[in-house]
Amino acid sequence: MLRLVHSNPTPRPAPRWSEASDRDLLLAVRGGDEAALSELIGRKTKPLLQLTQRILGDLEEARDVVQVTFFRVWEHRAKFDERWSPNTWIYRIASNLAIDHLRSRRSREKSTEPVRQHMRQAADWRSQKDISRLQQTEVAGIFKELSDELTEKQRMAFLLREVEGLSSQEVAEILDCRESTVRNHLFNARKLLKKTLLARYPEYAARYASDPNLGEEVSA
Amino acid sequence: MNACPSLNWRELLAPRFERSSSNAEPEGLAEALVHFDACPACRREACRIDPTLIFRRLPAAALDFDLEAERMRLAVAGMRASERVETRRAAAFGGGLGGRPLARRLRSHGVRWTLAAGLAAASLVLGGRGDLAGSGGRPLSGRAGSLAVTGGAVPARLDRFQAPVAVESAVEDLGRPEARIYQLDGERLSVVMIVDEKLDV
Repeated sequence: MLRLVHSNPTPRPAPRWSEASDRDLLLAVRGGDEAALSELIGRKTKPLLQLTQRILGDLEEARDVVQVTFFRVWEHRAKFDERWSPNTWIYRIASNLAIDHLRSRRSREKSTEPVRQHMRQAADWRSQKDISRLQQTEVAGIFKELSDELTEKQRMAFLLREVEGLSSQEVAEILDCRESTVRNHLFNARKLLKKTLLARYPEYAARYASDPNLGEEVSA
Repeated sequence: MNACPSLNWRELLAPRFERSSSNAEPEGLAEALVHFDACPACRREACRIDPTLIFRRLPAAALDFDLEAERMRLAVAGMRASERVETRRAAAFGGGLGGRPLARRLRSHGVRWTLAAGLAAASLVLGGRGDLAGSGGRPLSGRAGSLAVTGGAVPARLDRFQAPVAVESAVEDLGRPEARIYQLDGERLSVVMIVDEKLDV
């Protein structure tokens, strides 16, 4: 006769991870809690996907990087130190993966000239088309083109500080360098972006400065 | 429309393009940039001085992030499963110690040996109890209703066996509270099955 001789009568209720802090989540993940990993994925997919898409300029590649980021978080969970900022640790993994991805892509990438031509064409259509949508596409496309001139660290520093709004200290931790180095990267990135923007898209910069509607759209 | 007179954008932004000894940002810039996001007139004025500010609000793709998160969960689960299969394959086909860290392999082996030893001991003990139970001795059942099969009904193929009954655990020291233990008594031997979904064997 097959008999059940032992079973936990009242399974432990799953912790309510939705209310836990990021740090508690990562500590639970460190202990091997898969539900905590699931909650972490739910919580961090959006910011990581947005960041990596901005770094890479490609949604599919960004998805790949974010997937591997979560996998690395799980694989290296034992290394998480509770003194660290959870965001910094995860962003650091994602940033390093994105930089690796950029390097491997650059080795096989073609010229950005077609993109540039497309952007110029798009600028001509602006007066006739859905301005708001086109404006956003333009800004993203122009950034993608111009940021190719930056080093990986310059691009990361600019995105994390200027777009994501992280502090210089957080950026330094993510990039594993000093704050002064981050500021240096930012200085060089701004200088180069300004120079190339004005050189390649003077009409764009001028129009942006003079058209009262454009500022509205960018921030939408 | 003019920029807000309280903000001197040139003073705030010019240092961003000057390599100073500290490269520190001017005081009040963070607050001014919050204002920048909300004030079109100030945005125009600021962008005239620092055109890179147009990238401050880079658009992100409009996605269903709940769906994206679900895809991530599936992908990560797939990668983890794939990694487990790969390390086992490496171990099984001469992967040596390279497939999985030594400590993890030893820990996994330790769990297996502990369970095997517990199983053997339980079989010996429960084999004797089975005889007692079969001859009208104290049945293993104790707290009626306190034990139940978790996760659904007993499969039809097991209908010739007795349905799970509420019995007291005979293997108290297993140390795996979420495990279910089944026992099949024979005349001379009892077989114990330990079912634990979380056991990585």
